[in-house]
Amino acid sequence: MRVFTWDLESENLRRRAVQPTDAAPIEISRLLAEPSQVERVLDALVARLLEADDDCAVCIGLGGTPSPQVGTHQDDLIELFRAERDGRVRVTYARGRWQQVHFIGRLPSMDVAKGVRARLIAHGRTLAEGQRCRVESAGDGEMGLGEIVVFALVGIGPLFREGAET
Amino acid sequence: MIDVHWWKAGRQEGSASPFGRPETVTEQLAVAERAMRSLTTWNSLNDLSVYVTVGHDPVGAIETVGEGLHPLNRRADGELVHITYVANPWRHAHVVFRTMERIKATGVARYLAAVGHEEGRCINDPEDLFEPEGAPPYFVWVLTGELPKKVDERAPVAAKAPSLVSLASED
Repeated sequence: MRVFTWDLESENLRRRAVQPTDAAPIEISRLLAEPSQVERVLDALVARLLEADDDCAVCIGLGGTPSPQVGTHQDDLIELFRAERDGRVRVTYARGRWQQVHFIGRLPSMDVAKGVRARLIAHGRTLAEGQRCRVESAGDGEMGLGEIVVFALVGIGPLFREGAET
Repeated sequence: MIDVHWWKAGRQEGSASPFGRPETVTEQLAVAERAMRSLTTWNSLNDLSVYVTVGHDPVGAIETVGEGLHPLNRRADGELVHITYVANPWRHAHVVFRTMERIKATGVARYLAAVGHEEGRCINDPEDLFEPEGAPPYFVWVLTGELPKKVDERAPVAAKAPSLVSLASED
């Protein structure tokens, strides 16, 4: 799986590919904090997918602390979030068919994050209306004590056709 | 630190004793099963879960087992899967069987895991136990630990060992 983060550089959106060798793959503080900016990222993501003119899907989810091993595969699961509490290690994985994960923003609380996610999904569906692109909710990852991270799983190809068996 | 206990045949016919040494570990299935049932029902151990393993180097394996994460429970949520792990859950290791035969070691390990399932405490799948590598002798050992919640949500299934009964009679 390929892992990307998004931030702003001189008001321009910048996509950064996370390398497997990166010691700290996701710096939450560098993620976009304004809901309007997060929406811009989604616009860019969906626009790029629609250019591909193939079956595709975007699933938007919420999580806590991205794992230091983000994007690594294990038993057909892809690691996304990891949190340690009370002697337990809680790991959230995406199912193995997804090809990319984009960390697109950070929000101060779960209430705000859920509201933003609902708006992102509605907005994404409007953008993708009539196209071969589905925009859905991915569910919630393992939460930490800090900010809520917004992520988007992206998949292209027959596996993501409407009604395809997963 | 994991305490290691080596199970041998007890003084009474069919009984098992945890006070053996590597070279005196029982080669009788009936004694190993007796040990396994003791472990899974022994309240004084205060352990809640057991994990059966087979290999040729129990000491080396037991020394490193604590370094990994052990899955505790798993929950699917749409496109996401959440797994909770516990680190270093194991408190005791019980070496309950010894054999020079690779196939026999695996067969006994699977059988004992099935016995553990019957008692409702074994957390590994008997079918996930494969033939050990390395030189004989081969050992079957059981890790017991304080996992607060059972992973295995299946109803206990009675252990069946038609072929292993014959293994026991060979001893």
